[in-house]
Amino acid sequence: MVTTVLRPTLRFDDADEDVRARLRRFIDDHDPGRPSADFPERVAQLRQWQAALCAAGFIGMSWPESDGGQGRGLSAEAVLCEELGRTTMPELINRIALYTVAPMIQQWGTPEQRSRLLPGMLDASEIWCQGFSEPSAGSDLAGIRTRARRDGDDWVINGQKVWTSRALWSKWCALLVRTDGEPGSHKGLTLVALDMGTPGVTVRPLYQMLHEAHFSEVFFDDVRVPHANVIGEPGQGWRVAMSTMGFERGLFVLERQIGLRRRLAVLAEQVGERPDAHVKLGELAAMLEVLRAHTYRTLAEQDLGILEPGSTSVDKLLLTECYQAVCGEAFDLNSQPDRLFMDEIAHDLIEARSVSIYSGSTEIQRNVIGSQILGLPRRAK
Amino acid sequence: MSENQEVVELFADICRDTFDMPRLLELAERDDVPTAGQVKVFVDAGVLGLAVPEDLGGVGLGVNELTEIAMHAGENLLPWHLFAAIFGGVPAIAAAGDDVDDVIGGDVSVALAVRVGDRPSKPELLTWRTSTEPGRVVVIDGPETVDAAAGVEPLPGDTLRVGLEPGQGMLTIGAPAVPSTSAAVPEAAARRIVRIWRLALCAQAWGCANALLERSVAYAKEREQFGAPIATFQAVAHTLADMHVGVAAGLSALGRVSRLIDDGDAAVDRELASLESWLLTRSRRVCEQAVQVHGGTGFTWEQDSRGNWACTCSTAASW
Repeated sequence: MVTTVLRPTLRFDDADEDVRARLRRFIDDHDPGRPSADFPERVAQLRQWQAALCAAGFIGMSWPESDGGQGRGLSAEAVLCEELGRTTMPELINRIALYTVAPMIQQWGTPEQRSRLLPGMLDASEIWCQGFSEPSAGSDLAGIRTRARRDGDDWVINGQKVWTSRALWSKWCALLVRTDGEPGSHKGLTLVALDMGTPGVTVRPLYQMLHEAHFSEVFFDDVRVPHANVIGEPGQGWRVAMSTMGFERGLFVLERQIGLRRRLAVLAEQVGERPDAHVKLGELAAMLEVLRAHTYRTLAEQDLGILEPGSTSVDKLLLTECYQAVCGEAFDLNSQPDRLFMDEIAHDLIEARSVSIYSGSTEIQRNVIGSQILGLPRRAK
Repeated sequence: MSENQEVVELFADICRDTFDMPRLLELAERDDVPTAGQVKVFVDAGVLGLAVPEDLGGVGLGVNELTEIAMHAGENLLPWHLFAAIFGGVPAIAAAGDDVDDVIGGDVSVALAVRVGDRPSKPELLTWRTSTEPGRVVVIDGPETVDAAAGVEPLPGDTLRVGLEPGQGMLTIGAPAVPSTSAAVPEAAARRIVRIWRLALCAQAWGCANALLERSVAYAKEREQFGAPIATFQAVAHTLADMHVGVAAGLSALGRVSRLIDDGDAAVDRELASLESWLLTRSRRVCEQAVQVHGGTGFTWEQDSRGNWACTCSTAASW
């Protein structure tokens, strides 16, 4: 429940502002240019961009020094997000690895796993994807059916994943499999690090509404994974996965929020002289300020280790509201009744529909808030 | 807990004890303002001096604590003229260099007024009705101008009366008037007072919404239909979750703007305006959703969601 006490907010100290100044100079000197319209080419550009940022010391700043980081707070990562947001390539290609998988390995992994798996995340030489959802397990992840059976020093995996972002060009997959129990139970799940080049792995791209293959189906036919690649212990998979699920959300939302500001600025240029647009533009600007304030709070609480379970569901829901409002208004204010064609505005409008679905649908986020924050009872089965 | 936090907690306790629901409903039914005795409880606790710096005879709370005070004020529907005195009237009088002892001590009451209209030569005031004739009137004349006047002279003409929330002394607009004397508050102090005033309005609206969220959650857990608490129905649970989003985000934004005011950050006015724009509307929405969650009882006088809802509406209208 919300208490009547103000929450912490992210503060940027002199060291953070120094990072910001150096990063701005770096960006000025190494402008990545406009991303290619060709999707595979764009991926290659993004990998080069992250590698360059890494070489300059701007990636993994909040990681422990023992893992190749700099031991800074999340404020440094927020600076990176904010400054990248002003470029033509605001998104880090290996974001899933850096902010979701890495915390799992840092918290639950063995020293050998840390030394083997973490370095490639930083310079994007090894891209990661996350294999969680399945055709019968979307919102209900307990429905996972992909099975792993122990055979000597290996686990043998059979099954299928879906909506796997970046699977086409990933080296590794953080794969959630069932090692025990039956679908419907969170128990008996195990998280493994799967080398995507292992025999038996088949990736089939999925084309979404915009005909871009952002994600794929991934099939596993007797795929052998060493037991040494289990992250945590067998049967701990749900706990491992959920313990850091919210970690990336703060930075993710911050990055998206900056992108929305850019969209709003473009919209203001397009329609700003129209009196009918002023109120709406102001409302959208205000909404984005509140979103940023809330994200700063999430990051501050994460840094202090006081982030409450379920609280980042608020971040996701706020982002969804803002994203769909900005893109919807951009479309409405620019609409022309005599034609509809796939320009950037229409592209954004359609893409915005995915925000309320990916990374936990709006309905799931509300369920999380209801059960974990408000303490609402569940219906007896 | 710090000493200032103890003051905040004490304020919350006084609000809850003095203005519980039956007393608030009673005031509203009589269309009256709080009794002198009820006001005295706050005066005796030194509440009117909360925002006045210590070296000027007040308690000298920081912006964070003042924001939390305003949140509690909203949760408990603190009478308007007390709210206006704490956050606007009394600090302005102190900043103008006048003696505040008589005001903090409750011997002289304070009314807060906001300039309306664009006529530069005729400042017309909307004065809030108080339990006694206002001895001092503070005029907020824009983002940087605050006048701590000594009294008002009514203008001739028709009396304008518009009341939104009877029983709170809120927004009952008397005859337009002009200040009879003027004591200007220095610009820097005026700017800070106005910013804190605007932040406090937002925090008050937030408090209204938060109180109704808590009541709605409690109600949904208790109320049963179809053999189960209505909180187990997804439609109700999702409404409550949506309400929580508004309240949680509002709290984050209040915290950020509070810090920006304290730091004198250059971005403060932009973010304060954003906060006002978003939070006042969203708080009202939370209150309306609360009525929905409560169903038929939400629409009753006794439930008094009306009080919170009206507070957020009138707060939005007052600035």
